[in-house]
Amino acid sequence: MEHQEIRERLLAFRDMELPEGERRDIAFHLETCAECRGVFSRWERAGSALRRTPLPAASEEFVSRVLGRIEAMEEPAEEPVTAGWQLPRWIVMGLGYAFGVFLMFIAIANRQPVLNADSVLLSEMPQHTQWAAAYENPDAGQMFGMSKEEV
Amino acid sequence: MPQLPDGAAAFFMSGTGEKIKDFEVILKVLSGNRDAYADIVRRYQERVRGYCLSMLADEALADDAAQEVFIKAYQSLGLFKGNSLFSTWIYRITSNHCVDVLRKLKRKTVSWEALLEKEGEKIEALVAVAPEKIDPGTPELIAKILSHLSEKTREILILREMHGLSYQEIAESLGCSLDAVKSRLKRAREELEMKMRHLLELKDV
Repeated sequence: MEHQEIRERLLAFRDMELPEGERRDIAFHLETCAECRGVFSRWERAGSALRRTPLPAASEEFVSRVLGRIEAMEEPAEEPVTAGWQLPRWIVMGLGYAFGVFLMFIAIANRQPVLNADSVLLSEMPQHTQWAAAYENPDAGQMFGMSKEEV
Repeated sequence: MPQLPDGAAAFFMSGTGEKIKDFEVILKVLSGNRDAYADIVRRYQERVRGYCLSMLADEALADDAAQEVFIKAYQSLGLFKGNSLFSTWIYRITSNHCVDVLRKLKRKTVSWEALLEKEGEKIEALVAVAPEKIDPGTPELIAKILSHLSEKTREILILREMHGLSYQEIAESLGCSLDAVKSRLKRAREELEMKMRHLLELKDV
């Protein structure tokens, strides 16, 4: 076998994945070739460093934890506890909104015209004087201290 | 409750040793005996936990991941067709789960140079030809070394070097061809050798 061919098969040789005949050829080559022996030795040491890792010790606690989780998983889920009969949330919110609108309509229907000294004196219409205002609204006349006759 | 697939019984009974033992237990579990699954966990826990620790480099994470693997295996026990060994089937679940965990974590590892500076002497002792004794911190140290290799390199080295699977078993565990196993293993060893080159050369002197 050629030197390069040996190099290609060195890994399979190391992993005991070669047939007996080929194994013998490579073993013979390694005895005579220092370079291939060096490569093989480096792989061997790097690999054996990994092989030196012991597997974790068996643990009965681990077994119990796994079975406990499986058991919990397979138990039927409990029904959520409800506090008696309850109105759906959207109905409660809707009723609140409708009540607010109702109150707003009542307020509009019972609205009183607002008339006081400031609103008359500071009116944007100059001809809309206190007399005109008092004429339109007798209460305003009283407010300005005018009698009906004066108006 | 998982169900046994058609034809699985005939396949199992054609096997020997480990295969038949696994079949007996799987049959019990599938027929409703949940406690029988404890035998499966006992039989494979060392390999699954060892794989998770080497891949994830964190004991607590590895323990959680191993539990998840056994739960997933239990849930899909009915899908196990028996075309391969149960061990390679569970390795496959473990490998996929660890890759998922690593992707979610996106953890930053200490640089290789920093690791060498801190743990150089220990790593050197690890690659020594005839170490006198195994340091108790070896699994963590190995996991730190492996965390500097790519995921694919890591998983194939763990299966071959640490768990001693044959090429055929690795192909079944990782769901790839024999040729893919050979080429991945070659690249993985080159990557590992490249990382540890100067430590290995030190020992050559």
